[in-house]
Amino acid sequence: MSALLPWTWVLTLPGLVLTAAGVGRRPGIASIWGPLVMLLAALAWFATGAVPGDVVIPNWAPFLPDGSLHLRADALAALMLAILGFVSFFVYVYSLSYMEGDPGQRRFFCYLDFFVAAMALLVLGGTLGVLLVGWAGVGLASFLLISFWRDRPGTLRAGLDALAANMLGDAALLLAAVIVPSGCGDLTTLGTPRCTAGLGGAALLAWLLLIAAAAKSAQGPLYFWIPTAMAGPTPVSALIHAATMVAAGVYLLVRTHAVLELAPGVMLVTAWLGTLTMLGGGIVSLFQRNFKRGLAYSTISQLGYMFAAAGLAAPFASIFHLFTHAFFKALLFLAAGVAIHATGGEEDLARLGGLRRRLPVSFGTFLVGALALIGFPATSGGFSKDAIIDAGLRENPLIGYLLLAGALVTGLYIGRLLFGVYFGPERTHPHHEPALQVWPLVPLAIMAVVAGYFEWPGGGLSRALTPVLGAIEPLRAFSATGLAAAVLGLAGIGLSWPIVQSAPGATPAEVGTGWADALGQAGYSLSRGLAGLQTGLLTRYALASLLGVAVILLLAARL
Amino acid sequence: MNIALTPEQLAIVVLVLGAVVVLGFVQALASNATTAPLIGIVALIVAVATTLGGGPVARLAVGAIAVAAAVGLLLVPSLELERPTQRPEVVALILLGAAGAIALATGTDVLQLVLGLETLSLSVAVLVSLGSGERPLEAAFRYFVLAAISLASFLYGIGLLYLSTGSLALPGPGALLGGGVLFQAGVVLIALGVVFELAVVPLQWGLLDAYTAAPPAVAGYAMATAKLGAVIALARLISGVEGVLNHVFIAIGVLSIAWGTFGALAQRDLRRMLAYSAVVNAGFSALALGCGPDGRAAAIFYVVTYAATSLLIFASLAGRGTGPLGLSLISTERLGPLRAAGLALGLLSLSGIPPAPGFWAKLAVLWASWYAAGVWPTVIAVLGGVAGVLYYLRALPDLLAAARQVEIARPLVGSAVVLAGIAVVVLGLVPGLAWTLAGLAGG
Repeated sequence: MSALLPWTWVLTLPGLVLTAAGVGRRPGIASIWGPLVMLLAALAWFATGAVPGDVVIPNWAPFLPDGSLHLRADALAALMLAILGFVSFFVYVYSLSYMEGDPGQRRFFCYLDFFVAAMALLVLGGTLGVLLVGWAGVGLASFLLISFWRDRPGTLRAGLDALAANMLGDAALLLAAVIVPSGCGDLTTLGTPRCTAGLGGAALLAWLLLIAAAAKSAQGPLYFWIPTAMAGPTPVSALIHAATMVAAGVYLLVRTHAVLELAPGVMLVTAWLGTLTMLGGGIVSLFQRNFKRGLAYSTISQLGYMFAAAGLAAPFASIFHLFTHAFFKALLFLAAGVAIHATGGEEDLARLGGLRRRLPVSFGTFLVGALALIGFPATSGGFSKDAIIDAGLRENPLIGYLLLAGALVTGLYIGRLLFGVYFGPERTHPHHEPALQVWPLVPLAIMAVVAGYFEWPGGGLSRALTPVLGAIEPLRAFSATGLAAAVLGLAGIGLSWPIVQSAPGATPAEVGTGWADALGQAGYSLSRGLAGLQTGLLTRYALASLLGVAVILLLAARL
Repeated sequence: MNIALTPEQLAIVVLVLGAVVVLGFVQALASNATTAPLIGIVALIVAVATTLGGGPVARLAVGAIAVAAAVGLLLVPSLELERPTQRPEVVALILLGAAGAIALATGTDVLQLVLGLETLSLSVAVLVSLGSGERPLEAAFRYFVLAAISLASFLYGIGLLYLSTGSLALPGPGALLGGGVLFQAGVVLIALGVVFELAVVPLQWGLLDAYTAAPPAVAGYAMATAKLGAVIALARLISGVEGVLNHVFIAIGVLSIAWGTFGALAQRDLRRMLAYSAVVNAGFSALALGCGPDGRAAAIFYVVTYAATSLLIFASLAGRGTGPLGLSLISTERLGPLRAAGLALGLLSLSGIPPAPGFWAKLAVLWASWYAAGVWPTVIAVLGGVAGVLYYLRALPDLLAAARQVEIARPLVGSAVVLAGIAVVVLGLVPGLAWTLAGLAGG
């Protein structure tokens, strides 16, 4: 299996071609097998002894410091592929029903296929060069899927927002790929003394990786694109903007944690960035009118937990939370999608309500997802969030207590969504839940509950990841902090009930994109000004050319 | 008299002869749209065959320029001309322009360079002017006058060079030792004469308008051949006078990247946006030219990928007229699956999305720039490079959504798209190949 795993990224490409060519009576049916095979390949790799296997074609891009085409099959890659295969398979099945009747249905599945291929390449990439190919590919797929419904206003703008944020991350990663000393670029050896010997050293490299990761995972000031990204179809929000792509930043930090550990200052910044984003995202979620945006801020907040863990020298806790979060957040989104689909596309919290009677499966699975999200004991989130809070209390108590307090905020916002949508008076007349949308929720709900037992009590996950991440602290399950977090989470849910009662849908406060908007406006004004110089008047052109030549001559004379 | 010709000179002779043959039978060829282009393609194949035994510069220059001219020729039958009977003349001009570009790229003394440069820019000016409507003629006139200014600069530079060295040969490594102020000024002026064809700031004005107004097929051909010829010529010029021109090229490169990026950002007309994008891309090759031997190889690599990409884009747009093309209206263009895919691939490559060749070329330039030009030029280039997604990809969702429309069949346009598309795909999947060729030619 170790020879096969590096090539799993091609698995969805046949589906892409077949679906584009019009194969399959039901559009997309030809595509759904790729992710399933990917999941099975990753599981088979673990089952057959987890033997690392790399594919290296040297000198593929000779102009890079490390120009080899390097695909790495190790436990971290296999775990990411398993998550990707699992979540995307059920999202594909769900989409068969969700996108039914949409004129662009085939195009939708082609984009999904492209996304899965790029995401798989991202996690298999052994060098910065190959990683970049997947990194930019998922960004492109995200843009195309956010802008998928071009007949709806604002989708293109939302896609371009995502591109703009991604672009900053790409810039940082590009720079990192070209500035490392010759021969460097392998993600696992980036932290060796030889590779951090370039200009700026480990600190510059760590900063660049942090910027790239923060842009992909919407941390700190780069959060602005995820809420608008909810303009895309809901299955996309579940797969790309909750479970997999936005977690790529976390994956990058974990994969290159050796570099981060060489730069304690950047570590600290990462931890604080994650903690503050976690709190900020949770609080902002409380003020959303839109159901999906409320969940989007929840994603930002949970990614904050993962960043905090990465900055607290706990890469395993970070990746463990990535693993559990993928299931329960995809579940929350897909359950929300059932409600949105059944009410004819209604996403306004002020108009949703009382859906638990008509949509029992959606309600039940949303509840399971919510419990996992707040870290209810014995659910998957309970294990992974405790690991992060423990790491916080161990490394930096102030951050630790803030992470603990985050549990209360988590309970508040998810309780508000839960009560607002599924309780209270019925304001819409939903039709029934389609079977094809309901049954993919079941395996995700099961995983949202049991995913933690891949680690506890046997320690299977940490044992598998030890070769990649180094020695891993054993998990302390059902500890006092864990119980405190769970109590705070439940208290948050309880407290959210009066909030929903007093103000259904809350205040319509939209947090704008602020600085990014201003920067964009300035860029466009400058652009229009510059274009105004191209007047078509020959005399001005000639004068400007001659002046230019004179300036260059002077410049050449000076230097 | 000894008239032993080098392979590249033989190629030039073949192309000029091809043009003469076409012009000799203008009347007979005017009635049939495909015969003249086919004669031209035969001439190109013979020209490539003659240089197979030549040096690395000759093989790369003739090969790449011949592909560009071949794509141009395939698009002649669908060209939007003011007078459709002028197609044979267009074929002759394309062949002459290619001959000029080869002379520019491979010439061993400055007189060959100036002859090549002028043949190229005159052909391009006339080609642009033949387009239908008023705008092409106007733009061609502006381009022509501004080209004359750059010619003046070039000739002045030749004078200064001759004054200081007593020779018309391209300055070699030894020339720098005896070179004073006159020599340096001469070299800078000659370089600026060639730089005009690259459309970098501050000499971008005329070409920007010409690229916007020209029929798409002509614009693609002009961008590709002029930039190939100019960059290869400049790489050879700069390698002879290492150090004199580096700062100038880094400065104009960075300035062009910034200028073109901001210019393109708010453009809602695809053709205008592509013209500004030409400035950005010229900026990348200029920056690389100022970055030592690795940089020169990167510049040639860059210009080869850019030529292939712009040929693909403009081949995909061939036949849709010379008017503006709104980005939001792209779904109404009825491009059909092949041309929509070609355009999408071209835009992806320009925006630097891997593994398209535009991405590799940018990496190569950035790598050279980090070590030779320093932090700030590299950072500006990185930002300019990634900002491309904001304007190139704006039309992509509509374009892909419209890809299933029925296409008006034009086999020659299709084969031009396929030819350029294959070049782009090969450059993207095997980036090392073109890099090795470029390194041989530029190092």
